[in-house]
Amino acid sequence: MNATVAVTTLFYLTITAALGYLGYRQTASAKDYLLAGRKVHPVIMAVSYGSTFISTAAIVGFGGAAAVFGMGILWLTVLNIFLGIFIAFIVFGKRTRGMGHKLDAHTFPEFLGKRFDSTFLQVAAAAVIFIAMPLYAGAVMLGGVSFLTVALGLTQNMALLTIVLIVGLYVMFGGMKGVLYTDAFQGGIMVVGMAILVWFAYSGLGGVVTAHEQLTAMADKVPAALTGKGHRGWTAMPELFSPLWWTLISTVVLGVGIGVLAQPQLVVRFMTVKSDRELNRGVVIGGLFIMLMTGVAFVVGALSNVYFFSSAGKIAVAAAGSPDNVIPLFIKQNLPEWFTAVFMITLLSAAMSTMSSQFHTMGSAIGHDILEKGLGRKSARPVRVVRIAMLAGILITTLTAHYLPAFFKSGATIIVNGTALFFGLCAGAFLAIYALGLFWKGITRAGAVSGFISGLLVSLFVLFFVFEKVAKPLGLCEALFGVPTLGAGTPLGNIDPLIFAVPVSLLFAVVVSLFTPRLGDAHLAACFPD
Amino acid sequence: MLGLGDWGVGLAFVLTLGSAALCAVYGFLNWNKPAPAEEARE
Repeated sequence: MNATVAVTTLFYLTITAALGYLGYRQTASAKDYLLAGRKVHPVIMAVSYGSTFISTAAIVGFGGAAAVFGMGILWLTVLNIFLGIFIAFIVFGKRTRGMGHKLDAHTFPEFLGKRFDSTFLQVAAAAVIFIAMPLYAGAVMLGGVSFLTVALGLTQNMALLTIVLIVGLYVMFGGMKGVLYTDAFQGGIMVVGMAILVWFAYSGLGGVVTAHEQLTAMADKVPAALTGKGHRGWTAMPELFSPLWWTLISTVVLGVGIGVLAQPQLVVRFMTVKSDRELNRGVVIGGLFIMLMTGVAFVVGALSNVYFFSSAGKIAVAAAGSPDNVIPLFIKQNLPEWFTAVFMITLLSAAMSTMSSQFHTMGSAIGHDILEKGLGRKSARPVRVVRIAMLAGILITTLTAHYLPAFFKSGATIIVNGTALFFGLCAGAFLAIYALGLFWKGITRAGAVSGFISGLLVSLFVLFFVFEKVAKPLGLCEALFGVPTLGAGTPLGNIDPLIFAVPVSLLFAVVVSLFTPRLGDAHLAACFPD
Repeated sequence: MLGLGDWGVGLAFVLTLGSAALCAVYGFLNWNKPAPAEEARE
């Protein structure tokens, strides 16, 4: 354990706890607790959105993936910024904010439930979130734990307990304000850490173009196993329609790139600001933030091949042992020692800022959407109910994080898989009906319900029986059909579930809506901003 | 392009910077929209 790292980490945790306490002091009502009073500053909202979006998966997991795939993975950054920020804020965000205010919706499931006048949809969406999110949250938690064990020399279980206690307390008591304040602080640290990282990576290789040229010249160093799958070097796209191309485009780029639009913990951010002006201002910060996060992680991950080859005569993955170790080892070997402490805190910030929103979303799904709205269990103290539900979510997530390593093989692979799985599931179940609900008055309650159910079922079927990354370790397909995946030997095993689920969900929602009674004009007038 | 191996990656690199710039330009052009008076009415 390095003393500088330990002191920096403790200092960081103290400030985080203080900001959580500030959120607690400023929370007076259920609206404060769930939506920060709908009066959040645009910079805080945008940085919070970005830091919730970006977990350790984006930096370490996908950074390591960039060391394998190369810079073609930058297409994910393009989608992250264009879809995840520009379209999300300007097209989806403004309509969601206006409609959310008119409907007085406090959560994403409540937004769907009120838009389609369906308590079933609100409860079912909340149940999907509460059941699936612990996988994603557990994966992110593991990312934070792995760095805390190194930074403070803690055992795995002690690190798990520490991170759960700190994040759990400030989310449970600070509510959305606690989440937003700590997110903004953590996002600021992430910006500094990643800006320093990209500066060192490029300047160490003589500048942007020179660095790229050195990586391009290494195309003949790609292992035969990867060239056989379509790899053509770290600065070129994989061969069209090769297995590697399918994995890169469908899972990595589309799975995460499109999945972001229907993330409950991100959509709710749009409802925390008071006008569209805040969203216009937030776009500036959001675009730059995401570019500095995924853009930098992907470029550095790919360029690390040049560094490792010149120092050890091996490509990055061979030198580091696995994709997950590439970024940490690159920093340890090539950057000043003081930056190790900065980077540790950057990664811890990335994990904690995502976890806090996950806990908040899980708690509100059970406490607000299912118990209070769905089952009609009105409470004189609704915030207390959400807090207790949040505690249940935190405990389930902690247990999931504890047992996840036995399911997947190694550390950050879990983070990438857990993230892709949740993003894909949300996109399959929610994206089509959420988008139609925002822009089409013709979608009916039956259309929305059938779109939700069909998207969810297709997502689950593909995940459990076809999508190799999940179906294989899960073993359900092996047990029932005697093969690890029904997509074995075809590109289907590499294609993200949302590629199938979103079109099916869209088709069901539209077709059923055309043959079922429309929602009343009075209801539609209450939904749509003038 | 920019020392990169093919146009697919080159385009991704340029569009990464371009989409961040698009966000910045859009945000600054609409910094005060809707105007405070309109917002007060809302």
